[in-house]
Amino acid sequence: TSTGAEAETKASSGGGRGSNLKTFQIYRWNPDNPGKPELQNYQIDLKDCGPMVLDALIKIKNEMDPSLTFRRSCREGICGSCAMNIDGCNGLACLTKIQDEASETTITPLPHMFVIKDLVVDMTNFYNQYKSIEPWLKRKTPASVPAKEILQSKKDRAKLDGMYECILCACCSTSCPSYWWNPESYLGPAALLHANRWISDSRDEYTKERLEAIDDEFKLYRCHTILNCARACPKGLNPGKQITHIKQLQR
Amino acid sequence: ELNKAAKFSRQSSSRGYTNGSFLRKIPVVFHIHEGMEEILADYVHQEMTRNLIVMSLGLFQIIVLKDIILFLL
Repeated sequence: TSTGAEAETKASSGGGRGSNLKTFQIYRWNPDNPGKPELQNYQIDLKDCGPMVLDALIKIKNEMDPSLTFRRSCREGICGSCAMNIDGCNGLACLTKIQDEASETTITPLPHMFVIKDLVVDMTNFYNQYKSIEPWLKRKTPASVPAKEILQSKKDRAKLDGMYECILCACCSTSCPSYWWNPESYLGPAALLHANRWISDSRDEYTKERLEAIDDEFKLYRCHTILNCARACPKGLNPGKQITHIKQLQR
Repeated sequence: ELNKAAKFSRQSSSRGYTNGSFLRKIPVVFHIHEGMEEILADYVHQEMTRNLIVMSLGLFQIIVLKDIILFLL
C-alpha cells in the first residue's frame, strides 16, 4: 500500500549515524480490500526500540503504519494474545527477543488459521474445542462444608503442575501437523492438555465420563507424538506428555 | 506336540522356503493395514471415501497373501 511504502521510506531515511536498522517483514491482508496477502517491509532502528518483537510491532503501529493490526494486551506472557509466527516458529511476540544477528525478521499469523486481518486470526474453532472438554469443576457429591472451597492435598495439587500454567495462546495447536490436517475433529494439544488437567484433578468427580467423552479415534488419537507442541509452547509446557497420560488412562 | 510344531515349522516348500520363516511374517500384513488406516484417517476427511479405501486395501492384502501362499507352495 502507499501508506506502507511511505512508512518504509520514512524509516529508512530516519536511520542516522550509529543506527542499527533492521527489516521486519510483516504479513498483511485486509478484508476490506481482499486480494493476495503480502509481506510488507518495515525498517526500524533497534537502538530506538524495546528488545522484544512486540515492542517493534507497537513502534511500527504507533510511528509508521497505524493500519497494522495485531492482538496484544499484557506484554508479559500471561494473556497469550500476541501469539504469532515469528521467523517460522510460533511464539508470543512479547516473550520473543528481536534477533540482532539476522538482517530480517518475518512475522506471519498463526499457521493454518483463518485470518481476520493482518496478524489477527479467528480463534472460534479453538475456543469451541476448549469448551467441548467442559473445563470446569464437576461434582457428584456436594462439598463437605457448604460455601467453602474443596481442599486437596499438596501431593494432589502437584499433579496439576505443567497443566494449569497454560494460557490458551494456541501456539501448540497451530504448530501441530495433526491439527492442520484435522482442525475440526481433532481437539488439539491445548484442549487435550486442559482435558488432562481436569481428569487429574482430585476434586473433580467426573473422571470416567471425561475419559469416555474424548475416547475417540479423531478427538484424541490423531496425536502421533510429533511434539511440535512442546517445542512451540511459550510457557515451557509439554502437551504431548499430557496426551500420552490420557492415552495411558484409556487402556 | 512341541516336536510336531517344530517339525511343521521346518517343513520346506517346493521353492525352499520353510513354514517357520513365512508364518512369522504374517503379522506384518496386519501392521501395514493398521498403519495405513491411521494415515488415511489423517488425510482422507470424507468418511465414505475413507471406508471404501480401507476396504479396498483389505481386499488387496487378501489377494497378496493368497498369491504369496500359492507362490511358496
